[in-house]
Amino acid sequence: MAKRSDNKSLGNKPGSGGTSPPPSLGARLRQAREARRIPIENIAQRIRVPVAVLRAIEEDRLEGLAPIYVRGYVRAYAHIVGLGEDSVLALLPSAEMPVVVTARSGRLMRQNVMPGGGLKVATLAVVVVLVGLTVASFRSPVVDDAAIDAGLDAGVAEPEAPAVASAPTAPEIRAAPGTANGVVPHPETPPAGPAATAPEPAATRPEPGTVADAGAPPSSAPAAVEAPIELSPTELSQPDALLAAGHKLVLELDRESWTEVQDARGAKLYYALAAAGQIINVAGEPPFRVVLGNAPDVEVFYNGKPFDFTPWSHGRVARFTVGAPPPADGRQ
Amino acid sequence: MFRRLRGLFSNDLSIDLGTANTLIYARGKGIVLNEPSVVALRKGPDHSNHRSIAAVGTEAKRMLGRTPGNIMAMRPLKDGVIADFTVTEKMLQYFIHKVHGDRFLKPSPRVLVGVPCGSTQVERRAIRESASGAGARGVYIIEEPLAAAIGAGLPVSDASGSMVLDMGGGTSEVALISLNGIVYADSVRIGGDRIVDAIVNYVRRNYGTLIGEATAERIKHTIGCAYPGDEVREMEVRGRNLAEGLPRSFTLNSNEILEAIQEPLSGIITAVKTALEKTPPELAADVSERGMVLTGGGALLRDIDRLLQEETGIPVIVAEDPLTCVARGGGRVLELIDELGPEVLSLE
Repeated sequence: MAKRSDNKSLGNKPGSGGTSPPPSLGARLRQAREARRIPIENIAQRIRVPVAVLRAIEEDRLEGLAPIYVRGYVRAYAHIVGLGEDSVLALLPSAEMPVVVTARSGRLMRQNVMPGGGLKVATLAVVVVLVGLTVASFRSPVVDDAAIDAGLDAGVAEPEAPAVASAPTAPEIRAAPGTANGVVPHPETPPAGPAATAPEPAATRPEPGTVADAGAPPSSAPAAVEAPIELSPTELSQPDALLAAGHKLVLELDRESWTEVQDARGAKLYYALAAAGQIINVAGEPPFRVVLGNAPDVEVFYNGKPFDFTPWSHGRVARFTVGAPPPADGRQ
Repeated sequence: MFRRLRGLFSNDLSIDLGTANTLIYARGKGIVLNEPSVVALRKGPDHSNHRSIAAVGTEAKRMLGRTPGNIMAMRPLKDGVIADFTVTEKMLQYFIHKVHGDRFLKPSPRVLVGVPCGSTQVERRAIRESASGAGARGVYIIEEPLAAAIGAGLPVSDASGSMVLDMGGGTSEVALISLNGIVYADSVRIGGDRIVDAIVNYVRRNYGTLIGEATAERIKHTIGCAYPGDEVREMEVRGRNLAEGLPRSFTLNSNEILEAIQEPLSGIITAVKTALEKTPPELAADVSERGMVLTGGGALLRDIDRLLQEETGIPVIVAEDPLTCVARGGGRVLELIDELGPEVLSLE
């Protein structure tokens, strides 16, 4: 009986294919199964799918099942009844990746305001304007002179000028900008700010081993010695002085620790396993991105001041940024 | 700052850093790279330790087992995790640049990398550092079975159990997922590599002939099967006879390969059965009714679904395009991070 009906349907195809609608997926599967006289229970037993589910597929009731399962069951079913998998699967919707968060329906999806090229073009335009402004400001002689003068004045007359001799306990000492005996800045990381354009080297950057000795008065500039000696060490890190002298980071290790320091440009200033007792002294363009593998045994000083990185410690590892501008996230 | 700027001109990438193959899915573009995780290194002159990259990916894989003394073709990942940190970093760097092509700005994409669920924190950190070192400006880590389930199209956000078995080159991972999270996951260090090793050992033991890994892999692809079928397929193989020391050819059939790979297959079956045993009853009912989905290259082994079906008694479905499920799922997760924030899934 089943065979006869199948023959009928097969016989109808070539002759009246254009007039009657093609059989649905479920009908095709059922017809093929009946043509082979395979009970639906046998197929259920073979592919381990409940009979009810197979009946639902035969009746094209696919609503309750995820597409991937339907495709899997249909593929296995078609294989058993000898139908071409591809031709049957073509009748099914493709198993698209699901929207993962459907449970949080209360949240609105954020859309990109300027997706794709618009954002890129806008960014390029902003960058071009910024670069233009920067170049223009550096070419202006008034700005340069004012900056240099301010630096010189700060070294001689202003009471806030950094005094080398007055701060023997500070980890690092900076001479006033423009002083004659100042040490040359690090070649790879020139200090940012107007002092970078000064005609004479302005900042001190001693080697790690000589940091403490650098505070000795004889090696300092006379102008700096003339400054009031009652200045406290904290005044050494006044913003003007920092801009003039370049930013420095000192890491003192009690025990060995994996240490990474990158400057603002991503240049790796230090990237190694540092030994116990080592004092790492780096200078460059802030902010510095620091990774410490053994954070509890490391002390960090930024421009002479201890830097508390405990909020960014997770276990023994600390990842933090030092010297970021205050409005960014509150880190130094 | 500059990295972020460069990031605007980079495509966010989802990377399936596999033991056998590395796949990269770029947002809006689909799978843009599918190459073997193989690197060929050229040693420096005079026994110095200096090594330079000779080839990466497909080109390097062709060199495996065929290199002269000064070149070493190696796989920097083993059992799903990094075995050689520096080489992995270089390989990733190469792939990321290859995906972006020659651009004026050096690419600095956000990257999502899949890791085996059994990997340790040290291994995950190595992958994170490696991706950062390769130029990524942000690295997200996702457990591979979760990415695979999303890539396969499983309804992971539903309050019902979805089971996935991701069979990779180095590891096989079985996971039960519900409500966007992993309820149970286990990883066994059995994958395509172990199957290849089993074939090499079988041929050496039974034919007294040594074949290379590439040959064994070809055998696996051509006549490998996991369940005895009606059709027996044969293949002519060439190797070096151990007794004579000369090249010889012989014929292998699919039943022999089935016998050869019984041990790794039983390890995978055990892992799946253990997962089913440890599944909470409600979710077990879901899995028993709907079945388990296979992803990864191992899902392409002939009749592996039939084997698991017979052994576990639940329906087993091979995902569409199982090789790319992890990378595609990771790409979808990147989109979700943009839309809903990084807390949407349990990422690291």
